[in-house]
Amino acid sequence: MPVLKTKNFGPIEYEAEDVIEFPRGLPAFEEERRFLLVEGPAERPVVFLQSVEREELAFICLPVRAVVPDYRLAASPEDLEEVGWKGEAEAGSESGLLCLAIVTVREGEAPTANLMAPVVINPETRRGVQAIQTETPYSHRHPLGVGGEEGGCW
Amino acid sequence: MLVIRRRAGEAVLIGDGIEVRVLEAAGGRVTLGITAPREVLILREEIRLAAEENAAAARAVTPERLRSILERWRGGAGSSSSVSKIFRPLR
Repeated sequence: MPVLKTKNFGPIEYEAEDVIEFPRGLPAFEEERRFLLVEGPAERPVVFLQSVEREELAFICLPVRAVVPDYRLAASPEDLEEVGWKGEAEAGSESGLLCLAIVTVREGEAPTANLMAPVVINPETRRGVQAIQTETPYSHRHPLGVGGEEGGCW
Repeated sequence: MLVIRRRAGEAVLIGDGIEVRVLEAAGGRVTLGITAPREVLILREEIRLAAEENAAAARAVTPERLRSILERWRGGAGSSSSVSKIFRPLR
């Protein structure tokens, strides 16, 4: 079983099929095409998107519906095609697509989640895309309440 | 910032060979038609916002900050040992 050295989490054992391919990378990280999703039981619902190629590159993520329980995905047909999705565009367990918001922490400010451009992963194809939504009411800097302002998900 | 008012059907010209025409303006939305040389990159602003957020988000992840963030968010439940040892691939 291959072991990935990571700067933030130490070595992580993984299998080849755990790797998620981002054919276009992520905006600002277009060269990074392969990521692992890692989680720790104590950190749920937080998950981390760890680059397979750059050991220091990782993103803090939250399922969009842990932030906004009735989140509606409005990904473009091109983005859905990119991950090989043929069903309805719907964020949530019933749909089968995994939708994660990347969390940003700035010094002295409340953390924010990028709900405008969620990371959308199709577990069947193990392909992902950051869906830049243009017809969405959600902000790229949605403030995360500390202490459960959003329905107690913290 | 230069501010120019235009009605539907009118255009502005930028430099040599770039034309931005207002095709439709209704209901708080504007449809633009852009003519530009092939080498000019045209992006919706959302792409740049996402790129900036991603760059800032990547900077946020250091072991020390991760620890303090998790402790703050989880009311102290995210101990440092779990950060280094318990992570595993999510199926």
